[in-house]
Amino acid sequence: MFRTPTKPRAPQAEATPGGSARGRLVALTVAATCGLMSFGAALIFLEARASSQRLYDDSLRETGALLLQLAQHEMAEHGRALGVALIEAETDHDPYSFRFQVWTDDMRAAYRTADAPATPFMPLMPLDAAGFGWTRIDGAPWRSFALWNRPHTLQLQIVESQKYRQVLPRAIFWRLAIALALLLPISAALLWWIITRSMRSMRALERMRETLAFERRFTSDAAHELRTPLAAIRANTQVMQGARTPEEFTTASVNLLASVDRSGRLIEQLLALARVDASAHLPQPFEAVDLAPLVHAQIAEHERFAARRQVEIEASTEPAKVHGDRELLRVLLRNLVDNAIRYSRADTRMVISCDTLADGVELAINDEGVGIAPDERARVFERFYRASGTHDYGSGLGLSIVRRIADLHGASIQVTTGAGQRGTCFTVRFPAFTADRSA
Amino acid sequence: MRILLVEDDAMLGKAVQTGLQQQGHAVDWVRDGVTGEAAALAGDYAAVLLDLGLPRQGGMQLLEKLRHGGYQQPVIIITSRDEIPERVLGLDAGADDFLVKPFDLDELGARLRAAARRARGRATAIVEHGALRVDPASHSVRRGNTTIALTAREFALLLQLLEHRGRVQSRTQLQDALYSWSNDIESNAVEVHVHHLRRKLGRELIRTVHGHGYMIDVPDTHQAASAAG
Repeated sequence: MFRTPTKPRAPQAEATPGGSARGRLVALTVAATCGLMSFGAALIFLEARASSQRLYDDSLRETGALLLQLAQHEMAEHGRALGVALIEAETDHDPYSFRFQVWTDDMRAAYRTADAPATPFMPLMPLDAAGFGWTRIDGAPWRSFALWNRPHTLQLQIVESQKYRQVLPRAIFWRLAIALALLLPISAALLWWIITRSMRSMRALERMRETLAFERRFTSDAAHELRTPLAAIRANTQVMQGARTPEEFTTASVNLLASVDRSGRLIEQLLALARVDASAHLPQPFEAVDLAPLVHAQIAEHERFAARRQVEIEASTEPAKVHGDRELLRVLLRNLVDNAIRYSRADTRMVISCDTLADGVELAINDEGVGIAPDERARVFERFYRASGTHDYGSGLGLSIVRRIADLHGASIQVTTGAGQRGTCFTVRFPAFTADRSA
Repeated sequence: MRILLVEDDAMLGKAVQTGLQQQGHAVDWVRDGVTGEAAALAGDYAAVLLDLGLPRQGGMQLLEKLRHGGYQQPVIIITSRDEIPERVLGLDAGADDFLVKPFDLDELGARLRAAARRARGRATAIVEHGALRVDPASHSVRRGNTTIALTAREFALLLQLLEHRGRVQSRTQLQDALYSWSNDIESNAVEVHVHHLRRKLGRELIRTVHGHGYMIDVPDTHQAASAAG
């Protein structure tokens, strides 16, 4: 029933795993983006190339039709009997990408560009097969177009170098490549930034949710912890009302009082824990504190409780200066001493010692009480955990308060079997005191 | 009724035990899950009151083990957690009822009676026997219009015999129903209570079965009704 929430965050577990996860996420996203963008660019290029080829074809056809009309005109003006086998077309062909020939139906060349060969680019097309095609000139591919005039007396053959027809697609290709080369690093950087940012806010959110869940569970646990003494208060009151004998009444009233005390103590401890938790978020106003007088003060404070439990407290204190918060250290000591007396057997001794060692300050509380099983020693610091077999009424919070305070002071706590193989020994080790740290 | 209380809290446990004793029940109180399991299996309890947060073995685990082993007696969970999932879990594990701390002892008593009643397959609280009307809730016995005053022990004994009508109850069984472990039992306590009951309710009600114990016969009307049914 005592659920023990773990601390909401482990500070050292923050940077590295998140970093590599982020790296992987960024790499994957960038790779995917690269792939998609390249694929898109390839599609654009293919489409652009196909369009440009259609465009070239259209202009080739138009040029061809125009030339054929021109040739027909010339022929009509000069007549077929012109007798000239080969007439230089008066075109300055140089800036033109195409060459053409106009053939009569009896295979006489009527016109041609200067660089066009004297033989037809291709066999004269039959009437129905005129149109686009491919041919090779000097081993290079050329786009060809053949067109008959209306009376089928002249056939125009026009060719255009494929090399020229690649100019536009090539320009498109390079422009796309440059755009990609520019876009990819920019989008990678953008993605990295977005992912880092959103992951950071996600982590912050996650942390907030954890803290909230922790707080909620703690509050709920605390409320439930109060229910048992409350139930005892109610039940004992009812028993008193219905008491059949004076003994029944007395027992119930004693238990009632004890239950009230227990609720009070639980509330007190909850408040103490809340204070420790709150101070954990504030800058530490640490000062030099000697543990020895604090130990003696606690022994004096617990004198009556110890006497009632028939526990003898012995102090063995040397000056033990630590950096710390005097009030919190007092709470730490009070809880440890209270705990030791609470779980001590009658007629036993407990020893509280503090000393300055070479590498730090050690505080030890050694009782001859019921002891804590080794497998339970780590758990006793959890909130609301009570070691099995303890019928006494600790709040279940004392040791978790002790640990919180020790954490705040950079101190470690060890739980071992007490001296003489009996009871329990709590050892708190503080970092060594150095004068300059007080600044 | 003889009730097993499994509760680790000393102050609450003591109060519940005493409170239920005041209501005329015999209450055995154990403080951890392992002892609780052993006690439940060893004793003949009309009902088990089970806390969930127990040392050595949690209440839920104890309940699951008992039910898994075919334990039939009603189990009422008393817990400090009142969230719905907790209740669902408890009821699904085989609990008959659920009481959240802090609770009222009278309500606890009423729920115990209801659970025990349901376990015996009876829906109404009042036990009728001939002209006798026995109300376990108010501890009242009436014959016609007259109320008959009984002590808590006498009432518990009468109820135990009535709940097992037609069957012989041995002296040990009756003793168990009346006294928990802690009570000192005088050797002739059951006889004394039977004697008082006979004086108050008439000689013929409780029959002595020599060498075995006592019993209340099933009344004729009852027999007729069950024969007709």
